Amino acid sequence: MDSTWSILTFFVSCFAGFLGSLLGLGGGIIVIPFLTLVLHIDIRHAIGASLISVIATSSGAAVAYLRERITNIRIAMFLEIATTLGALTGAFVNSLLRTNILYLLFGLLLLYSAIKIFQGRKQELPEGVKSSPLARKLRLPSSYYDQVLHREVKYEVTGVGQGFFTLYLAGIVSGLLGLGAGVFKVLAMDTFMRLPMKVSTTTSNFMIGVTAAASAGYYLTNGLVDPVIAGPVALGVLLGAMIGTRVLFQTKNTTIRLLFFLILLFISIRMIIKGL
Amino acid sequence: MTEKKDNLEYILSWVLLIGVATSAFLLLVGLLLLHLHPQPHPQNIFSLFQGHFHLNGYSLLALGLLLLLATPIMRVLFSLILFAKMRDFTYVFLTFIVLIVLIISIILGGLMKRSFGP
Repeated sequence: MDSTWSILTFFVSCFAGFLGSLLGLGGGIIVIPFLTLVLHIDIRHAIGASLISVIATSSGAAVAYLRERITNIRIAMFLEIATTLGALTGAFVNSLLRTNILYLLFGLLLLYSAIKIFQGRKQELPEGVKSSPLARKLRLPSSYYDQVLHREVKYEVTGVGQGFFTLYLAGIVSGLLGLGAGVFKVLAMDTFMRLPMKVSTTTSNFMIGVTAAASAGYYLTNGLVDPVIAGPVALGVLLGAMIGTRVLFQTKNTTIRLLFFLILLFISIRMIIKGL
Repeated sequence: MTEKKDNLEYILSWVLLIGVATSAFLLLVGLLLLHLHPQPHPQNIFSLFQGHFHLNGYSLLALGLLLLLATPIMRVLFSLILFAKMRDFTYVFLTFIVLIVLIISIILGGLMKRSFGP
């Protein structure tokens, strides 16, 4: 890859990191199409680079999100059990399932979720949530300082079991399809656990790095991480994530929700087309 | 309680910052060197483990990426230590499970050779 392409990759990755850090995604939806369609890099190395993109977004953004105490570490630790176990299961059931059906099924599921997200687009903070006994036992309810609302936002947590189970399934599926790792996490935390949107995206952001690291062994020994491609991706994503964290603090939950809706719509339609 | 919570988040953010900053530095120097002195190289950073480390752009790049991959694992390890120091044994247990599953996944993944896609 010559210098011009490296620099272009850097800037595209910067955008991926920016979007990923805002929405709790890994940036694969931008990095993979760019590398395969524009640079004609084969899909295997593009997926390898997207693994690096996920980890860079996660670690880069979490530096700021942890410092501002917006990430919920306890929720992340608890749910990481589900996602890593799911990914491990996914590696074994890989050959048992037809991926076309999976694409279609999950494409439709995401489309349904997108409609749900759109219906709640005016809701700045979740209302009428009462913490479940399990959430209290695990001390998941917490608070964060919202720089837009200029106040400490206390939030309750519910649906811990459903969230855990959904993320276990999501871990299996995203391992099989190689995408959607962040999307499912944000959805589970938003829909079942009823967290404020920014807490959902930043906590998802925190978790995706660990889920991705779980498959690092596979990517490394199979030679899927080409440093000449992954290097500029990592640097661009790190810069983009740093910019994204600055923006998130100043953005309303409803705006993040609307952005997430658009991305969700885009991903679900792509998945449905792929499945047909 | 609040102080301990602050502490956990503060230390973990430092762990990530050190990992990310060191990795970014290695990547930047590695990329510059590689573009100034283009050289033939393997397409696989795993070769670094097989005794192919030299002080050149390619190796620095590969080292930076490995460090980046290791950062989330270090984050889980540090969480475990910090929860233990806080005597929060529920979370010591939960974090321990994550760490074990993570290690098993990485090792199993490393042993697995399969082709991509349907």
